[in-house]
Amino acid sequence: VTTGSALTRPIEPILPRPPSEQQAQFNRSISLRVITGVARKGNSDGYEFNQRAPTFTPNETNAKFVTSLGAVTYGIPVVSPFVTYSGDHPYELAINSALGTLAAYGMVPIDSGRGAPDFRFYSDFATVDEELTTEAAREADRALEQLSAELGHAVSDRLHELIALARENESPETLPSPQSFRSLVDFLVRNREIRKPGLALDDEGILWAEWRRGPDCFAALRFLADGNIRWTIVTPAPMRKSGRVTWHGDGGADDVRSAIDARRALAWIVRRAGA
Amino acid sequence: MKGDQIPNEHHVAHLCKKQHLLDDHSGGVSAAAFIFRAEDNDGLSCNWLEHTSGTRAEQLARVRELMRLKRRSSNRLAVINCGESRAAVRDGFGVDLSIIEDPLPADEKYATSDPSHALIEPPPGELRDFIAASLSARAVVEPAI
Repeated sequence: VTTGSALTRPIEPILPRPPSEQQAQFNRSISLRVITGVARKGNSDGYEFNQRAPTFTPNETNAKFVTSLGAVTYGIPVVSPFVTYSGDHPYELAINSALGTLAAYGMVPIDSGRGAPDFRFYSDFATVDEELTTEAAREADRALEQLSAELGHAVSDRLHELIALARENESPETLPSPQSFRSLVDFLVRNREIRKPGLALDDEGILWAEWRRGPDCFAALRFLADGNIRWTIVTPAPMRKSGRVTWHGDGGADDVRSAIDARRALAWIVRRAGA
Repeated sequence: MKGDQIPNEHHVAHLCKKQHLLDDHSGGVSAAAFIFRAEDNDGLSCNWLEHTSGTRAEQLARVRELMRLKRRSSNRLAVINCGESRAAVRDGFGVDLSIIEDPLPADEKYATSDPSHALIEPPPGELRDFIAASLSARAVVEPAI
């Protein structure tokens, strides 16, 4: 195996494969904070996979990495995988997170010129659409323990409670959607200065975050299974007018934050510096 | 009569699970309680408080007796005023919210009828989540048992 060589042409995408026994074993031992990857041989020989654990920095490559993984990695130190290899054989990489395995494939290694080869993703990670299984839920528990240090115990405890309540329910479809879960955590981690919302789980397994000052002053966000956020904002009508004003829409986390910031009547949602 | 709109000044109570309640200072009910699922074709099940005369406490007690949904001590009733809810939905989303009488007769499974049963009819699909948020914000939470 030669370390530091790089491919000169794109790799054809490889379809995700069922987890190997080794990978299943690996899944049982992971936690959210340490997200790492396993590469498997896609051909006869020619590569091996290593890992390292730098603090996350939002360069272009990592930005794609983070975008793909969404909530579970943003702003959190991750184990950033890199590859060493000697040939141009295709390979696949499985990123194992606390909420399931996200299969990446068809990456294009780029010689970064800084020693170890850099890489870029040729395509996005496959989305994990399956319901939160018991095993995944257990891993989510561990993830939440890790997250409590990032977001505070109140959020972590509440998400624990919601998962527990969903497990008690007769209908398995009410378990939290992994993507909804990721999307909510991502939003909260990226907007740490926002006050802790009230959190709830609906009968479709979708999480809600809500801030409320009264029937005519509130914001409600529904973290959809496709990664989008559906938001409803109601504020009192401007001065000297009675009634309320309602806004609503769908979008990403940045869209929602912009919508909140644009409504001065919702300034109370954002925690004052030092408060 | 079945299908009639419940008067604006009246109230309906909708059963909520613990995971539908907000864990914040408001102690309110989340929009999660008011989502319209695909199987909720007819609407969200609720009970009409003013169908029974008496104080609010007496009305709630009667509704609890009549309600057919299984209740737990952790459940709550989300009580909304029909007129205020309709106005909020009309103002915010430009559609009419229909809250209708839907009395349930006695049958093989239930020995007694439920004349207080009502339905919040599904609004247009693209607006349902937003309207759920609007309804929940106006709800007053009461014990379910």
